[in-house]
Amino acid sequence: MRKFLGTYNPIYTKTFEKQLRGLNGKYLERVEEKIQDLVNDPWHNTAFLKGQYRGKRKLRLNRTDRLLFVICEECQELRHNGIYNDCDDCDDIPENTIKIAGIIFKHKY
Amino acid sequence: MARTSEEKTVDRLLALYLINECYQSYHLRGLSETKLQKLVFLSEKKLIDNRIKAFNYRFVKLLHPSYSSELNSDLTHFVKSKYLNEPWFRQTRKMRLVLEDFSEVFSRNRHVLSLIDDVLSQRARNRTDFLVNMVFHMPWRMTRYGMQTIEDLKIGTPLLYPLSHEKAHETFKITEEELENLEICLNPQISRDLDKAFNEMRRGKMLSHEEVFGDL
Repeated sequence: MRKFLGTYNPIYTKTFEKQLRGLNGKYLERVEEKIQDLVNDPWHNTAFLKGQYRGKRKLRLNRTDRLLFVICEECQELRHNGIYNDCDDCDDIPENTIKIAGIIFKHKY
Repeated sequence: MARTSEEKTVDRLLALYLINECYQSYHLRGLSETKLQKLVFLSEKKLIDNRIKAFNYRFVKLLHPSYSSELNSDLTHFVKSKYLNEPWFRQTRKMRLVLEDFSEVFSRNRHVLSLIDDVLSQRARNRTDFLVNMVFHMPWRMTRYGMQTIEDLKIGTPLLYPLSHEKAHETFKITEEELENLEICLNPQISRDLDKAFNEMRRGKMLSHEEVFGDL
């Protein structure tokens, strides 16, 4: 397990955990690398999703796959909580949290 | 050949546009599936007649008489995913968010949409039975016995299918980034999996880094 050094602290959904279990070693390393980049600067090379997924961000893992997450600090600043994200634990978790929801594996669809 | 994922995504966006227009511009009180099937059929036919590749639904002749199972399955998905409410396919906030966020795509494709708007301006307010009857009597192909209408065709005869890129003079313009974002919103399997993940996130059921990466 890589120890992440960065300003932000990632936490994960069970869906993400299950998705990781299906990945091979090389791909898993790539995901860890990308999360390391994310905790250093979650705005670098990431973009907001649209439509009903407003307030969530995506990060490119490779040509087709995308990692989906929310930056709690940004969510609170832009007042997305209550409109787009509406997390029950918003008041209890630190501002520097990144909530990682899951991965879209395009080939699956 | 099955529709490509790009064709499916554009079809879904245009179907939502057409439904929204029926309510916003023509103030319809409700839309039945039969009426929607006719309005999409007439729009797609007009686009294909103008050699424009936009709608890509396959229509065959059935009892009512033009029907697309692909459109039926998209409408079912829209209702299941709460883009539309039953009965009468009424719009929801979710649908409005998609249409708002992709308004640039609509501005870029004004010409394509103007043809759909033409069909709606003539047909949106028509009663469903009138539309069904009109489609029945549409001249469809010339044979040695004379002009055949849709009514004369055998059940199951293909009516419309996607225009190939080679035959199209114009194609619905959408960037790769827009297409990706739209597919995330409108693909039923992707949105089902994402909704599940984002619901876990909302309920605060989260795992720490050690819990997830510790055993791997």
